[in-house]
Amino acid sequence: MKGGSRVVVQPHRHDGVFVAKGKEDALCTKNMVPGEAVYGEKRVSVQNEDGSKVEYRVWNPFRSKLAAAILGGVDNIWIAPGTRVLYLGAASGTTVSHVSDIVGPTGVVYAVEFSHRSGRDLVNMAKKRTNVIPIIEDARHPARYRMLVGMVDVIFSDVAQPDQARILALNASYFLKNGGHFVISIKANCIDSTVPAEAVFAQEVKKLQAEQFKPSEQVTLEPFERDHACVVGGYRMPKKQKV
Amino acid sequence: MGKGTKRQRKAVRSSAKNHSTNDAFREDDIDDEIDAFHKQRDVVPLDVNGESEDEDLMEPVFDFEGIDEDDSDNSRSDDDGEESDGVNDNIKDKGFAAKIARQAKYLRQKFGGDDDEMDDHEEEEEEERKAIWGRRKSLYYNADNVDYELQSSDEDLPMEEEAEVLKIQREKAKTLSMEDFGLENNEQDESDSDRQNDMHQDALVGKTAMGRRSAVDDDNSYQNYEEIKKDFTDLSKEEQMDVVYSSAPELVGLLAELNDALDQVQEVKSIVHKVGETTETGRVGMHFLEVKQGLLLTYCQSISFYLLLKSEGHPVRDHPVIARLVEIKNLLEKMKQIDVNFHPQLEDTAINSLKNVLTRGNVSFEVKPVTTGQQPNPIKDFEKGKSSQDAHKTSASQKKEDVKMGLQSLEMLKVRENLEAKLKKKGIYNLTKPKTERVVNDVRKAVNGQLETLDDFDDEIKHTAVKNLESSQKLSQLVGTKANKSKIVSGDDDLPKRDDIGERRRRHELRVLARAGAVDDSDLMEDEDGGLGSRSMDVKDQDTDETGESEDEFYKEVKRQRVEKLRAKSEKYSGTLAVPSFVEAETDGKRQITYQMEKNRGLTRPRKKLTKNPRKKYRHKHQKQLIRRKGQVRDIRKPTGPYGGEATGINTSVSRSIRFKS
Repeated sequence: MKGGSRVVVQPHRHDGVFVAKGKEDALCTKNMVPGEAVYGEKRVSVQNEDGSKVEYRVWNPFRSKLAAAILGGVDNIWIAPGTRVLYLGAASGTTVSHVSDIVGPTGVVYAVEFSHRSGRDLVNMAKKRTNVIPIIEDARHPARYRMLVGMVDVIFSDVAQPDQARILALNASYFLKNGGHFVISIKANCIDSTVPAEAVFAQEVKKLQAEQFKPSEQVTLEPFERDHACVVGGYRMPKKQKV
Repeated sequence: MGKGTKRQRKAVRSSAKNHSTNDAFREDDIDDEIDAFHKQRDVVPLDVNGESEDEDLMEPVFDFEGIDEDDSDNSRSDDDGEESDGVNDNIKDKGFAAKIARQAKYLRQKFGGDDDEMDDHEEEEEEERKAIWGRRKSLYYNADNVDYELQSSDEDLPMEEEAEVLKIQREKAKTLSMEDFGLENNEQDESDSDRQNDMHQDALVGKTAMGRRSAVDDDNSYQNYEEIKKDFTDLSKEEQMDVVYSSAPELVGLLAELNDALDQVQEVKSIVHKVGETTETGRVGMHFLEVKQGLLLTYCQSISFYLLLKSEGHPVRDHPVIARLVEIKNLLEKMKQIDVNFHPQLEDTAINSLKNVLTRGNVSFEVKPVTTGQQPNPIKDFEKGKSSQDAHKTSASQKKEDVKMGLQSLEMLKVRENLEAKLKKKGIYNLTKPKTERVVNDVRKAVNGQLETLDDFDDEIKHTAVKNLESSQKLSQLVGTKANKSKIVSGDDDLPKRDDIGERRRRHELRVLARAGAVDDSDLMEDEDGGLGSRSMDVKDQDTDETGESEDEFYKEVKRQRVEKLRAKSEKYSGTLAVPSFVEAETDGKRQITYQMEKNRGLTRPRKKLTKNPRKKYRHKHQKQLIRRKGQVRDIRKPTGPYGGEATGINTSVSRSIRFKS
């Protein structure tokens, strides 16, 4: 991290997320396993007043949709320390590592990845992090890993499949608690490349609304990804009590 | 095709000969392929020329063969005919069907499809053979006897070949020399077309029929006429004249003109001589006569040159002498008109001169004053329908009117007789005397319009009148046709009269001069008086004095101007030295304007420097909009190197998501 000793790490609006302010500002999370980088990212270690050292890992928004969404200015990611997260499409586990940093030791991350190759990296990463449970399974069939996964507060979906809304709904129906939340990353080209991205996003939002989801906000990941959007919402939200 | 069968028979008969000739051609003319190529390339253009002149060259060749080399030519022509036949057969028998057809067609076109005239045909074929000799290699190679050529040993043939080659060479040389000779003959024939043909007559006897036919065919073109001229001894006089008329219709007319012009020259010459002796007043008038004489002489010269050209047989169609003839003719017409117009003026001067002459008794005129009066008057009557420009047009048809007197001229003769009778009653002195007085008055007044022009004209010509009178008298005496001719020329003279531009210009200048000074006026007056030489001499002296004075004044004026100019120049350059003092004086007198005054732009509104230029304004607008759009639509960044952070910083409090309404 440029700037040397003058780098200051400040907590972000979202819990568990920090901003390292040096010559350049960068998102970062508190490293659960100090002294180790998962994917070669930079680390910032900050010494507290009492002399204890805290290490932060820089979160690269070009490799993580969640980081891009945070930089894009999403209102709420619903992932915070101590939450249980079902992560669909975990891939090599770069973002999963940061999510595990955010949720901390009290939380748990169920990382589902179908590809064995990237699943290997994921498992290796999970060896070091006790709060990550890797599941090498097809996210379309949540019944296959239903014995592994308990009830979760948040589902993060980055599967990039045309039927990702259905997959999300299926998993949500199994594992997501009522009033829980979802964060879904939509790649417009994977759904329908013939129509404009905005139309695809609206279409997906419609689908989600049909599946008992209640999307609350949408943010584009524009400087980092092309034609991507993150939709955040709740599941089976309770009706507001009339006072 | 009878031709074909005959040829085939011939070919069979003289097959051996054919082979020999073919070999000879090959040995002689086409030794090598390169040589052949060069020869062909050389030959073709010559042949092309020869073809174009084929018609021309035909006759001398015929002549020559007809006269000198009858026996040898006959024998050779047979051979040649056979050869050409053989050649044709060769081509044919090779099986080039298309080629045969083309050849046959070509031959038919060439010879007019006359199969029955075999002698003529053979001669023409020989001609053809000469024309195409060496043109195409294929004519001599690859004939129907290829196999024979391949088989044949050259041992027994050299003698025949040599003979054949010699024959061909001789033939070539002869034809060439004959062509040259024939051309010379042609030129000679044309040069002395009248006395020629004595030596060639017997040769031409056989040719007259053909010559006549061609003359009938070609008599519309002068070129052909010249070539065929040698045949005319056999024609009758009328036919010759016909040919002459058809080829050169202007010739006869020109001859007549020449005679007339010669006559006129003689007359004019005599008149000039006499007048130069007798009268001293005719200094100016002499000029007119001299001009006329020169013109006539030039005309005669031109005509004779034309005739010379004709007799030598050169083409005169585009020769400059024709244009010259027309030009001189036009000038002569103008002169005639002037003559005609001056005749009334001639009368009075003529009287004076006659008086002088009669008193001296040197010359006795056969012509009475009555006749002098009669001539111009009918013309005056006829002037109403005429103009000078029309005279130019009529000049072309003048000659024919010379030959046959028109109805118009007959009428004019009648009118003339009537007028003569009237004049006899009146007497001429009444007619002429008042005229001079009127002339003087009118010129003084310088009235505009027709009358003035005529009178001015008279003024100028008055001195010439004496001689013109004499000439006109003589002319009128000589022939009636002459007078008639002049009348015909001036048939439309009584249209509103305008002199040609030179005359008008001169008159205008005279008028201006008259307005400018009294000297010229007096000079004019002297002229009008028709006065004698003494006073005019005085006037001349005066004039010269005045001009001398005026010249002096002019020079003085010029000198003065120059001096002034120099002074102005020197002042100007000395003025540059005085400039600083001038500036000082000014500083004393007036204040300089302030900078504010200098830069004052009045009430124009102030403009921003950036937006003054529209192009620049748009550029700035665009840049602004781009910056705005960056906030609306974010461009895609590519990750470069290891991620270091956001250069623009991270604002944690900002929330830019789109909220869905619940």
